Amino acid sequence: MQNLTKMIFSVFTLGLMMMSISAKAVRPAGELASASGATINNSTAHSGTTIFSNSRVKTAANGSAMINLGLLGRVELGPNTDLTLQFSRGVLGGTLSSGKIAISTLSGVQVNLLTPDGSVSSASPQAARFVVDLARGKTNVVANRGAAKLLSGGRVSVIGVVNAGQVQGISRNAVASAANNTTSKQDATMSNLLRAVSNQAVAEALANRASNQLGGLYYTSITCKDFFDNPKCVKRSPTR
Amino acid sequence: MLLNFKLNNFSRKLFSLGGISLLAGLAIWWTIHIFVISVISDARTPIDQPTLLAAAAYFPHSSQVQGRLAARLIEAGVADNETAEGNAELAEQAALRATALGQNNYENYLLLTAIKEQRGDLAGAVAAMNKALQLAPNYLDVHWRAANLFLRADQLNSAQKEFQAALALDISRAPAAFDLLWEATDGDWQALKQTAQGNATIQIAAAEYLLAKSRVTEATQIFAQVERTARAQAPQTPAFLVALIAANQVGAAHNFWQEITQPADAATINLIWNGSFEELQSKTLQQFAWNFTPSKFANFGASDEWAKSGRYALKIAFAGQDTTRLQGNIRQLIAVQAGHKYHFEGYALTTDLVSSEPVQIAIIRMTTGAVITTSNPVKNAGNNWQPLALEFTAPAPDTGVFIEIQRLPKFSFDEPTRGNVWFDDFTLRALN
Repeated sequence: MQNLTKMIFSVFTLGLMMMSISAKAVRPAGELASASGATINNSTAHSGTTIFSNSRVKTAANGSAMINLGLLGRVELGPNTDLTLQFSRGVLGGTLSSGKIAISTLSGVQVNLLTPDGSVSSASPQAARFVVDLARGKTNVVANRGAAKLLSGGRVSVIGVVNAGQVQGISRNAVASAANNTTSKQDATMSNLLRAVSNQAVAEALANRASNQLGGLYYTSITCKDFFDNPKCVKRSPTR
Repeated sequence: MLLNFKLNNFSRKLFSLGGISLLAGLAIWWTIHIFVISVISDARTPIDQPTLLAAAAYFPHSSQVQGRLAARLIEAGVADNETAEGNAELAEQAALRATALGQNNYENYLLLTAIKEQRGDLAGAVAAMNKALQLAPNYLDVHWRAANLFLRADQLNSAQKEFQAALALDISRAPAAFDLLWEATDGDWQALKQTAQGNATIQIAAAEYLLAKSRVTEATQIFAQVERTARAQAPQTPAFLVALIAANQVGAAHNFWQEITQPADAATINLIWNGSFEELQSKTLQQFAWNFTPSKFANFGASDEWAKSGRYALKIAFAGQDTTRLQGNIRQLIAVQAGHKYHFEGYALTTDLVSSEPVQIAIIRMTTGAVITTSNPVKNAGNNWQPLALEFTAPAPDTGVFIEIQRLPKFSFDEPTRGNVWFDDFTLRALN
């Protein structure tokens, strides 16, 4: 009886082990579909090379690279680009330090890309294609498909929604950018919005609401800190 | 051979003309057909997707056109079309047609591999890749793509086999291959070892890679497996030894160096290489040989004018310049063990030496360049060999020290140094 119990226990344990082995998830990875004048983690990039999350892909002055990420989408790099690519199930992004990239995603994939000026993320779960270009101290975003949400760096963020066919930018000097745009119609709308901003969660919620209600409008806004430091802004305690 | 056709009536003439016209027409049609297909299937020709789709429908039996369509649809993927899945399905159909029509073209199977993987069918992708490997067993690109695909499909053994085949064709891809294996196996050095197994060039590359990752033990283990002759001849060996020294693994580097440069039966307890100066340079690797840097203050080299033993001694002929400085010009790296005590002996002979500061042997720390100790100074002893000696304890954490011949000025100016000094029969032994 004792032997039988042992045997059952052994079979059960073995079964569990087999299940855990078969359930071992294949690490998400992409493939460098094509490359010219590019490096991956400082090694020369060759077509067909596997790209793991956190890989650093750089292109030279005349370089380019295209990375296929299967069911997540695709990333294309232009010349002089430095991108640390990060991805996992349903999320595609990373850190763009310089240059220009185009991110294409299938529906249900969330984009989350950091730039020196802030972040670019998808504003809706639909299939998207954004071109993100770091030029002249500014992050420019073109949404060819889907809608992109722009958040500036800092504690509370710049909010912007770029819908398909639109262009938007985050300046590294958000205050100057806002000050230059204080007379615009859109800015007045955003000033009202900003008064209600106290944290990023609220900011994002507002961005989503703005996206839903005012899709197609062009926004520029600033952080609360920047807002309060800006002499053209009225000081006010952040409220919900 | 002569063929005679008699076209002596109208019907024959008409029939011949018709036949020739038909043949000419067929030839023209075939030429145009080939030309159009070659233009359409040339990747350099910019053709939009609808035109390619139309061309594929018009030339359903052309493997090249079907292949080009598949490639275009894969390229378009999620970028051009919101219905990416529709694109993928069309691409797979085109790739399957291309492989069916051009069964001996490995590129069609690579296309099929790409589209299968894009659609999440890894097993299908692997099967197509295996077919491509069968068709092009000597192509670097196919082995590289196969290795990467197998890695993504979690088939490590197959990936290692293909990486080895790729690296055998192009060793410059070793860092990239090892990076991928390292990442895929969470830093398991055995994966690198297995990939390199049996190929000296790849083994040395793997050892270099591990050394760069500060995995010294593993690096030396892989390097030690390389056959002695292959190690001696490999162009990467000097760089590997330098990297070992830089990693403060002088003992390991010295063992490899000795094994490569010395005869297998050359057992010696003298830690100084060629202390009798019979030869100044090693025939192969120089890391632990005498190292000479030219100086404006003195000339030096092997001389047979005087010798304590053997045929040669090291001669230093001072140039008669003021403020003479000999520092780091004549030195040898010695492997030592931190905390161990060492005893040095050597001999010197002078002719007409005039120096206001001592000429002596110095032991220098490898890591800091600080002087550990110096020998008694060389004296003017009238053409007699005089003994030089010193003892030192190797300081931690150094695994190497330099032995060098020094003459340092004490002040910013001293009187010119003249004359000659010969050195011979240097020995260094561990005392404990």
